[in-house]
Amino acid sequence: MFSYILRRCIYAIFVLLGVATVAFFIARLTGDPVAIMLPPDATVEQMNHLRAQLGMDKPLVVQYGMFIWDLVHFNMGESIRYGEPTLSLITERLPATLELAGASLIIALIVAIPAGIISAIKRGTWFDRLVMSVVLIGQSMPVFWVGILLILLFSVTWRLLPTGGIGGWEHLIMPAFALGLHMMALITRLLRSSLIEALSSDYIRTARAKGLFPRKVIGKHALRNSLLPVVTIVGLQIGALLGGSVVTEVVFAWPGVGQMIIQAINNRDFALVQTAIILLAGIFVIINLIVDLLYVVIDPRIQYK
Amino acid sequence: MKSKVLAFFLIVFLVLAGCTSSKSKDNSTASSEKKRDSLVVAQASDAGTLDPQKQGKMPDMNILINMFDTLLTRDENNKLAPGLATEWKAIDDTTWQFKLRKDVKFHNGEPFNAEAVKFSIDRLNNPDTKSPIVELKTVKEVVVIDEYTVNLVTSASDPILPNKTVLFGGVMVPPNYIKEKGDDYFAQHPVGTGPYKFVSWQKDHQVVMEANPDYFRGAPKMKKLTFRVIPNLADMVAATKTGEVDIATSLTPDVATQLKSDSNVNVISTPWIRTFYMVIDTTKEGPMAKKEVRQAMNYAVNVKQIIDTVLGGHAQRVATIVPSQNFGVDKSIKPFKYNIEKAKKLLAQAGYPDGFSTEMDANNLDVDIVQAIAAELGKVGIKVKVNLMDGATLTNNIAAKKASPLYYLGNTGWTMDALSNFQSYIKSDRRYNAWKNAEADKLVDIEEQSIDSKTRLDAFSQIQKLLIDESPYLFLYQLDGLYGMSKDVEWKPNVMGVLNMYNASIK
Repeated sequence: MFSYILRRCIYAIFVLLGVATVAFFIARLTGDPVAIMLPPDATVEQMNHLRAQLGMDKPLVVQYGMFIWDLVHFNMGESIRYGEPTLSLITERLPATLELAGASLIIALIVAIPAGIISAIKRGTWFDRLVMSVVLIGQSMPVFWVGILLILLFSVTWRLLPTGGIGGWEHLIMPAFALGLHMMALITRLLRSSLIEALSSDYIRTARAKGLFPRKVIGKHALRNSLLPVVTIVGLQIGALLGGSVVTEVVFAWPGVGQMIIQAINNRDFALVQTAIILLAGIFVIINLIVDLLYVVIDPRIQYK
Repeated sequence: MKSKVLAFFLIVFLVLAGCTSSKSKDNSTASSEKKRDSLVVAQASDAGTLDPQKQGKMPDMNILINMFDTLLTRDENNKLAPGLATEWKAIDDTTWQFKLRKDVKFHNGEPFNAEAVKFSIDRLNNPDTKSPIVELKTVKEVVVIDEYTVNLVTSASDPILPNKTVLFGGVMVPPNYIKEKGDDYFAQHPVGTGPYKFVSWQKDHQVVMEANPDYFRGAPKMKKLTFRVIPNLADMVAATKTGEVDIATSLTPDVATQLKSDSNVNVISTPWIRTFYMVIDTTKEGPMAKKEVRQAMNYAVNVKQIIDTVLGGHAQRVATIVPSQNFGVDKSIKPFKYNIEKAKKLLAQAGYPDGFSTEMDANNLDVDIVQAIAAELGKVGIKVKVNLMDGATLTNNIAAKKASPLYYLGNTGWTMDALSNFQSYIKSDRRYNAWKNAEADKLVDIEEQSIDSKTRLDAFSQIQKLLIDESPYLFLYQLDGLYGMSKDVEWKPNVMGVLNMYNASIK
């Protein structure tokens, strides 16, 4: 088990190096930050001067070498727009993004798990049909549109919630719901179908024949066996939540990493874009590892060597 | 069955959405009561830094102008007016002398004097500061004459140095505070001389300021001033309707129309000095190298109609690229009159009776405008393919000389002197030049180097006449600034579009 984790960590380093390389070169394909930073009346000398100060006058390969060298020393560079270390800029905003993603995850699970279970058990009834229709709508609506609709209804019309920004729970509720809606729909659907499959299997018939309480049949036997695909998807979806927060944060003026990435791309703030991408990729890799380890807990048949 | 359920939900949604317009005026009194002495201003992005000498972008300036002062300012008629300096004069060709106010203190109690001016300008021009502000690069030395007199010595004559001290080149920062606390601390906890003092900054969310009771012009009327960041315009409009925000800025004409229907919000349209035009790259071979073609393009576009329809009337036609408020504008020069027949004749004269095909680059936010222009050009046979891209990519392509033969551009003449409008574009060795003309080069040298205003005015006039004749641009308009304001807020925006809130109050 330990050697498995170690091996995965070594793989992760290569994955992150690959991500860093792609981020480095793609960022540089998008243009020259100096042209954007300086006003139009700056002279060519002033531009060259600033370029030299930022180390952008050197050949690309040399810049890349310096970048990787700094990276392995955990020196992520300074943002050209903010003039601060990129890592501290991101860690400053990360709590807001994690708060939003966490709240979305909780809302999604609280709704999706009971809804999925009940609609699987009551398959074909009006409740099941209702849930499946809502799920269809939830999966089809893009997050920015849901966001604007929510603002229109709950803020402008009913004046129940603030339109955006960060603050107490009342600021959190709309963006978290908008961001979590897609995941909620996906998990409901997945849990329902995998539970239906489990409920029609032989061991469930046996359990029922033994005279076990229905609650125990479903809770202990059926549910546990149908959770594996759900855990996989939840893991992948956490990554999607972090990515999706880019849109949600902009719609709801939520001061997180997503909003900053958009700004950084617009400013061609290379160092900041790279650090953000590497960090988010790192979180994704860790979540994937955790999901793989969770399999062992859920399904004792799985073992890692 | 399934389709029935779906239909039910759709109906519920539509009904809910329908409620939006009917019931939006309820809580307005409650929200205006609690904000009596505080004001919330919203803009689309946050400041990058609160060090006024290390920034050069509008969102940063909008916030900082409320905490800092500059040597000179502008009065209601946009004339140069005293700021931290009371008098200014040119002693010789390369020396400007400023007399300072004697009653000014920084927010930390530190006195403002000639030493502070020297420190500020030296810091600005020190390469280690990496300042993107280039306005005062002509200043070679700052000489302290006495405690409240200071000379700025320039390397060559700089006729509009006082104009530049209105901008952030002339911002004054506290020497002892910065020496004691360091640059990084200063950028997070700014201290200036301005009407508002810094309280807190939650990045990408808000900057909070409180009134400076000792401000040298008198304390501002509002006790608390907050700048909120709302990147999405639809969200900003919603927040203005609910009263969370008192002033929404940088509105687009379509959004302004939408806000006008709300009885709690005033939409204000005010002239700005930002001019827009289509650059015609005359340096490449082809139809655009011919002056008749360029004139034809100017005759072919009905600018008045574009202003009235696409921009909702929120722009003023300009003859060339100089806004009407700037020094040097020649009002006797009239803009091109829409004349499609003349355009066709000129095209035929140039050897293109059936027109030609070309491409145009523009920021995707300006899609409506550039497509209207392209359609107008199409009527005389000039088939234009429009390439839309984000603003940064457009800037990059122009700087790298990779842009299409036509591109849509805006320019603010910050110094309110036509020099700023011509600076980067007209002379053939400048960064954004797309038109080589020896006559124009000579005239630019005259207006940039002479301190005599008559000589300069004359040179400006000649450049503008040359611009009309040669038509290296498709001349368009200067845009108005659009703001959405709560009905009870009183505030007058300035022509630069910088959000100076000192005079804002609540009725």
